[in-house]
Amino acid sequence: MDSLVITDLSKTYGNGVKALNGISLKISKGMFGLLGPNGAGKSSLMRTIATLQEADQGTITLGNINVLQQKDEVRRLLGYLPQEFGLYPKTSAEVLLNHLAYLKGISNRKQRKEIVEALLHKTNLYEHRNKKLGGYSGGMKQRFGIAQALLANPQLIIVDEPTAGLDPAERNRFYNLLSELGEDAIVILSTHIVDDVKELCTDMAIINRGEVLLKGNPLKAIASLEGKVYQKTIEKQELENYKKTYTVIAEKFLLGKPIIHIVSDTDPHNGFVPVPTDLEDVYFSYIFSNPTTSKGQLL
Amino acid sequence: MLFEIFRFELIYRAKRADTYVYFMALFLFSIIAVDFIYEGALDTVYRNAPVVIAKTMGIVSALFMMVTSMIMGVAALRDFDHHMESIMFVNPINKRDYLLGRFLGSFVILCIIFCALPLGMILGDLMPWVDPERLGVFNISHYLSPFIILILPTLFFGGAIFFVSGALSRKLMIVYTQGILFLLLYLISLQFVSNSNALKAVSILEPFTFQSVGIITKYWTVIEQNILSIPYDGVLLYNRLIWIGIGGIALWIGYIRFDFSVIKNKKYKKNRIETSTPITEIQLQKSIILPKIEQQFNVKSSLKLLIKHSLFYFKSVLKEVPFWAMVICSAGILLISSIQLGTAFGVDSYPTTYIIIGELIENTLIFFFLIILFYAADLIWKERDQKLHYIYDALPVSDSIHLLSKFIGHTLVYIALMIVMILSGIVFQISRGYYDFELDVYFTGLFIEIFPFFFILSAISFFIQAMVNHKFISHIIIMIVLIVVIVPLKITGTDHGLYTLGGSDIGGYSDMNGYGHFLAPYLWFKAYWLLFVALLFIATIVISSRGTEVQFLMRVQQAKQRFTKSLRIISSTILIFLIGVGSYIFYNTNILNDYSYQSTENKHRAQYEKTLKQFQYLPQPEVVDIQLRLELYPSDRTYNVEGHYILTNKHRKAINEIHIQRLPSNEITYEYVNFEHGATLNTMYEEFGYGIHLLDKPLQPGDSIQMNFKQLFSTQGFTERSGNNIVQNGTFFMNFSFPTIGYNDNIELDDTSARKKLELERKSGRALIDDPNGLISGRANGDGEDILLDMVIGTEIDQTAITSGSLKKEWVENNRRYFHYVSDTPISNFYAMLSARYEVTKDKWEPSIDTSMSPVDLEIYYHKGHEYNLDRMMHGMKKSLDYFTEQFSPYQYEQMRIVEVPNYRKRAQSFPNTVPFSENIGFILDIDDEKDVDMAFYVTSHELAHQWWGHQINPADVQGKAMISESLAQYSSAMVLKKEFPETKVQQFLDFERERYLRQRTNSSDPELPLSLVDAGQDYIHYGKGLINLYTFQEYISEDSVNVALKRFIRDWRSISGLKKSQTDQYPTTTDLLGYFKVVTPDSLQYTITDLFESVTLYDIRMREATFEMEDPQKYTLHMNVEALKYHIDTKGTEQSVDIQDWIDIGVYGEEGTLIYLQKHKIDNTQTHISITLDQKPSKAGIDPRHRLIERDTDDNISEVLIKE
Repeated sequence: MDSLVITDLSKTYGNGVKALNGISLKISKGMFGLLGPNGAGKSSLMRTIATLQEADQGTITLGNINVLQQKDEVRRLLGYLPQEFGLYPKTSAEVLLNHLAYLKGISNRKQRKEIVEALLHKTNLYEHRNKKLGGYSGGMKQRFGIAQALLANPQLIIVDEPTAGLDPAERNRFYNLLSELGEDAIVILSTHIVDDVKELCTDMAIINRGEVLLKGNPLKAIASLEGKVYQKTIEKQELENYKKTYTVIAEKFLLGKPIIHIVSDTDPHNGFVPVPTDLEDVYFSYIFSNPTTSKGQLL
Repeated sequence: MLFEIFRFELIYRAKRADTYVYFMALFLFSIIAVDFIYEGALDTVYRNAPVVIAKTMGIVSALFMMVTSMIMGVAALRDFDHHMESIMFVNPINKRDYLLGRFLGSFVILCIIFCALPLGMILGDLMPWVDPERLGVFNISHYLSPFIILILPTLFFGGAIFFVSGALSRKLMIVYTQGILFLLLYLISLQFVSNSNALKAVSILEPFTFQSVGIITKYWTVIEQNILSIPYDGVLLYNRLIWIGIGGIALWIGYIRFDFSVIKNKKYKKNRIETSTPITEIQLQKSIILPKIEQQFNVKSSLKLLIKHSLFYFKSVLKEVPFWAMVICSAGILLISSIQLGTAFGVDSYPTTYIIIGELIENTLIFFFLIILFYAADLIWKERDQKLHYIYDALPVSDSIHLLSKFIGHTLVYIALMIVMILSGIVFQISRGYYDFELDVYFTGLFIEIFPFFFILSAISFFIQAMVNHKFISHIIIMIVLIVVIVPLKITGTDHGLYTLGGSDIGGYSDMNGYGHFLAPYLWFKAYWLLFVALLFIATIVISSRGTEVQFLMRVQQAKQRFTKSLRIISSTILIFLIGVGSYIFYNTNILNDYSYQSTENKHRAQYEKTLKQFQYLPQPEVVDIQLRLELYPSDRTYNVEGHYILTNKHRKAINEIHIQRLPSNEITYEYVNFEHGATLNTMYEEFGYGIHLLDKPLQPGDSIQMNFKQLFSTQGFTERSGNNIVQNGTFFMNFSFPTIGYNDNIELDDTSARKKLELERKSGRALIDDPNGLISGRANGDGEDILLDMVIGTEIDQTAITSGSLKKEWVENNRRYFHYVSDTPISNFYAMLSARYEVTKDKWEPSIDTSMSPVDLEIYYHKGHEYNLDRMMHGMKKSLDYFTEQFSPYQYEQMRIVEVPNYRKRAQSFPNTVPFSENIGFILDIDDEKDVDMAFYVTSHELAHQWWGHQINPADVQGKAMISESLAQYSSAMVLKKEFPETKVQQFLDFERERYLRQRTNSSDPELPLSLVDAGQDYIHYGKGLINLYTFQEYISEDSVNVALKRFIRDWRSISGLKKSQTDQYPTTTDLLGYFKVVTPDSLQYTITDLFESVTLYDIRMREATFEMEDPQKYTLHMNVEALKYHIDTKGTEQSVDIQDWIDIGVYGEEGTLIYLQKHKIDNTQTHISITLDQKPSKAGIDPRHRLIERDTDDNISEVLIKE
C-alpha cells in the first residue's frame, strides 16, 4: 500500500475558524495516531481525508490518487468511523450492515453474507444481529460503526475517537482488531487519550489549532524528553508562582494537593524530583508550551 | 419566574431566523392568498368582501397549521432535543411556570407571525394586478374582526394541542408532521360530511371556520356578500368557544401529564438490549479471519445497486405510519357515502373505470401532494436526520446513484399508492356488481394521466430540497414555488404548455372516443417536461450536500467537480432532446397552427365587435333551403362540405350586399363562396372571416338567390388546446360551423372585466323584452326558421352519420358509408351533424287518441356497452309524446332520435327530431328506483318537450326567451314525470331544483330579474326557479288550465303557421305567454302571476306553534300559529317587504307520517292563527310543507303537534 501524503493542507470555516493550517504529513502503512485536544482539527483533517470535506488549499495523495479530486476512488478503499453518528432505529444490524456492504460494492451475495457474518462475530454483535438498532447501547452502536468501517477490506481506515463509549474490555478488543488490520493498511486513529497511541501506534502526530506540533514515533518522542521531566507536590496557592517560573506541562491532584510536572534541561532542584518520561508529558509539553518554539519539530 | 421564562422565550425567538422566515412566508402567501384560493372565481364578489376575507383567513390558517406546529411544538421539546433537559430541570422551576411561560411566549410569537396574514391581505389588495374595480371600500374592521374572532382562537387551540403533543411526546418528528396530520384528519372528516345534511353540526364543529362561514352565507347574493359583515354571534361564537375550550383542555392535560423527570422510564427499559457476551468469547474472536471479498464497480453492479438501494428507500417509507394511514384512507375513500360517481341531478353513474379513477384521484390528490412534499424531504434527509451521513457520504456510491435511488424509492411510494387505488377501485366495482374492470383504463388513467405530473412535482421538490438544504424552509419554498408558478399563469392566461409547469392535462376521456386525438400532444408535452426535470435532477445531483460542506457557495464550487464527464454528456444529450421536443411542439402549436394567448384572443374578439357591430341589424336575406354534401373523415379529423343555401329577401327593401361570416379558425379554408347571379367580394375582413359580397343585381323583396360554397376543415399536427367537435369516434358539430349570414354576436367577448380592459361596455345580455330588433330575431339570429334541409353525409365504413330530417337513402361507395337526409317538414336553421360507431335500437310510437297523426319512428343510437338505460329513454319518449300530443299539439316530425355523444359536453341538446345526448348524463346513470329520480326518463322528456318549446314555438331573442324554451320544457317534462312516477319522486326533483336556484343565485352580481325577463345563461332561473314556479302555478290554477293556456299559445304562435305568427314577423315573448296564463287564472289568483313570473319573490314562512285538543277519538281540533313574510327583490337587488295576501298550503301529517290534511288557506297577516278540525290524531303540522313557495330557510315549516294544556 502506498503512503498517504498530505501537503500544506489548510481550511478555514465560514465563521473564520482556522481548522487546518498548513498541515503536511506522510502516513504509511500501520497505525498512525493523531493526538490533540478537543477542537485541535483532528476531525477536520480526518473528514478531509475521508472525502467529506473540502480543503482551501494543499493536496492529499494516496499513491496515484488525488484524494481531494478522485473522491470515488478513495471511497472504494476507505473504511471510516466518524466520531459521531446515528443509525436507522427501525432497522436491524444485519440488514443495515448487509445494505452498507452492498453500497461498498460487494455485490456478490455469498461474499456479502460471509463478511457481514464475520464482522458481526468480530464485533460481538452476532447475537443481536436481528434486533432493531434503535435499542442498541452506546457501546453496541460504536461496535456496529467499527464493523461497517471494516466491510470491504479497506486499505485506508480512518477511525475518529473510536473508543468513546466503549468499556475497557471492549476497548481492548477493538485495539486488537485495529492492530491486526494495521498489518496491511493505513490506519489513522484520532484520540485524545495518550495511552492509546502509546500502546498501538508506530507513528503519530500531535496537532493543535490546526497545526502539526510534533510528528514521529512515540518512543522516540518520549526519548527526546527523557530525563528532562521533573515532578513536585505543591500547595494550591503556590501554583501561579510555579507557572511563572517553570515550564509547567501538567498538573494533577493527588489527595487534594497539586502535583506538577515541569520540563527542564537541567535539574531544577527546589524539591523537584526527576520522573520517567511518559508520552503524556511529551503531549502536554507541546500543547502547553509556546507554539512558536515547538512548531515543526520533527523527530 | 413565569415572567422570566416568558421573557427568555420571546428573546430567544426574536433572535432566531426561522421566526422571520415564517413571518415572511405567511406574508408573501397572504398577498396572493385570495387569488390562489379563488383562482379567479370571484367574478363579481369583491376581492375584499367580508366573506372573502374571512374565508381566506380561515383557509390560510389551516394551510399554515404546520407553522403553528413548528412554533408551538418545539417550545417545550427544545430542551429535550438539544439535550438540555438535565441542566434545565434540576433548576428550581415549577412545572406551571415552565410550561405556561414557554406556552405564552411562543403563543405571543405565533400571534405576531400570523399578523402577517391581515397585513399581507391588505397589501394584496393594493397589488398592481388587482383591478381596483374589484375592490369594495376598504374597511380595517373587515380584516381585524375575522382575525381576532376567528383566527386567534384557531391559533390558540392549534397551538395548545401542538404544544402539548410536542411536550409529551418529546419527538421532533411529531412536531414536523402533526400540523399536516391535523389538516389531513380535518380534510378526511370533511369528506365524510360534505353533501350530507349535517351542515349545522359542521358549522358548529368546524375548526378553521371557513366552512362555517360558507354555510352561514350559503344563500347570500353577490350584493349581500359584498356589503354584509359576517354575523359573529350565534353559530360562529359557539364554534369559537368550543375550540377555545378544547385548547384549554389540551393545556390542562399537558400540565397534568408533563413529567419533569429526565428520562422516560418505560421506554428506556423496553428497548434496551443487555450485552451478555461472556468474556471468554473475546478470545475466540481473534481467530475470526475476515473473508476476502471483491468489490465491483461496473455498470451492471451499479444498476443492481440502484435497484437495491431504491427498494431500500421505498421499504423505509413502508415502515412509516402516516403512509399506511394514507393507504387506508385511499382504499376506503370510495366507501364514503357522499362520493359523487359521475353524479348528474343527484343520480350516480355506473362505476365505470374512468369515473372511479376520477373520483379516486380527486379525493386522494392531497395524499400525493403530501407524499411529494414530505417523503421527498424525508428521503433526502434520511441519513442526515439520523446522523448517518458521515458514514453514507464516504461510501463508494456515486452522487447520481445515491440521489436517483432516493428518487426512485420516492416514486415507488406513490406508485404503490396508485396500485392500492386500482385494487380498491376494482373491489368497489365488484361490490356494486360491475365487472367490466377495464384494466387498461385504470393504467392509463393513473399512470399516463396523472403520474407524469406528480413525477415532475417530485423532481422539483427534490431540487428545492437539495438547493435550499434546509428541510422545513424547503417545504415552505416548495409550496410557494408551486403557487407562484401556477397562479399567475392562470390569472394572466398565458398558458402555453411549453412554459406552464408540466403542461396541460389530457383533456378528458370518453368511453366512446377514449383519449382520442388528445393523447399524442399530451405525450409530447409530458416528454418535454420530463426531459426538463431530468436536467433539473442532474442539477440536484451536483448541488446536493454531501459530507460536511453545507454552505451554498461551497456546494457550487464542489459542483464543478461533481459535474462529471458522464453527467456532462448525459445532460447535453438531454438538452438536445429537450430543445428538439420543444421545437417540435412549437412547430406544431405555433407554426402549423395558430396559438393565441387569452389576451390576444380577447383583443381579437373585441376588435371584431368594434369593427363589425355596425352591421348587426343590417337587413339580410334568410336561409330557406339548404343542400349540402358533407364528407367526414373522422380518423383524420377532417371534413369537406360543398353545397348551397337558397337565400330569400324577406324584407321590404332590395338588398345590395350580403354579409357572410365564415367560421374564424385556421383549420378552416374555403375553396369558394359565390352567388348565383354573380357578386363581387367587396370587402374581406380576413382576420375575422367576414366578407361583404356586393351583388351584381340587387335582391328584390321576395326574391331568392343561391349561394354556393365549399368549405374544408383539416387539422395539421396538433394544437395547444384541441377542439373536440370533430373526433375519431363521436363527431358532433352544428351548422354554425358553416357560413352564417351577417354579424355573429356569439363571437363577442362576454367577460365583463375583460371587456372593460378593452374599452368595451358591459355586454347587456339579451335585448329588452320590447326591443324591436330582438322581437324579429328568432333562433339562429334570424337567418332562417323555415328551411328545408337536404344533406348527404359520407363517413367511414364503420360509422353511422346522422342529422335532422328523415333518412331517404343509405349506401356504400368507395368503402365509405353514405346517408341522405331530407327534412319532410320545414325546420329552423339549427341542426347538428353526428358520426360515430353506433349501435341502434328502434321502436315506434303509435298515437293513442288522435289517429290522424302518423306513427313516429323512435331510434336511440348508442355506444356499445351503454345499454343500461335505453328502455327508460324509450319509455320517456313514448310517454312524452303521449302527453305532449294530447295536451299541447301534434308532433311535427315522423322520427325522434336520441344520439349518444362523448362527454366533452355535459348535456343533451334538442335539434329538430334529433337529440345529441352526452354519454355521462343519461346513458351510464345507475338509477336506483328506490332512491333516485329516473333522470334518463326525465332528461329525455325534457329534450322532447323542446320539440314543442323551441321548435314549434320559436321565442324572440329577448329577455324571457329561456322561460319559453327551458322553463316550459321543465314544466312539461315534470308533468310527464308526475303522471308516470309517485309524487315523492317529483318532490325530490323539485327540492333539487329549488336548491340549485337558491345556491346559484348567490353568484350573480346583478339584481335578479323576474322569471319572465330571465337573461341569457341564467340556468338557475330558467331551469331551477322556472320549474318550481310553474309547478306551483299549476297547483294554484290546475294542470288543465295551464295546459289549455299553452295549447292556445301554440295555436297562435307556432312557427310559420300559427294564427298570430303567420301575421307578423315578430316572435313570441313571455308577455304573450303570460297573457294566455292570465286568461285561465281566476281573479283571486291573478296575484300569483305577478309573484311567480313578473317579480322576484321570496318568502319566510314558519310554523310557530301547533297544538291539538281531542274532543273524541274521531274529532281533533288543531290550533296553529303561523308566521309568513313576503319580500320582493326590487330593481336594485334589495329585499322589500310586501304585505301578504296569499293562499298557502297548510298540511297536517298523521301518525303514520302521511298527509291527512292539505288545503290552501288565505294568509293575510304576518301572524295568523288557524284552527281546523280533523278526524285523525295529528302528529305534525306545517305551513307550505312541500315548499312550493321559495324561501331560504325551509327547516321551520313543519313542527310537532303538542297536546294543548
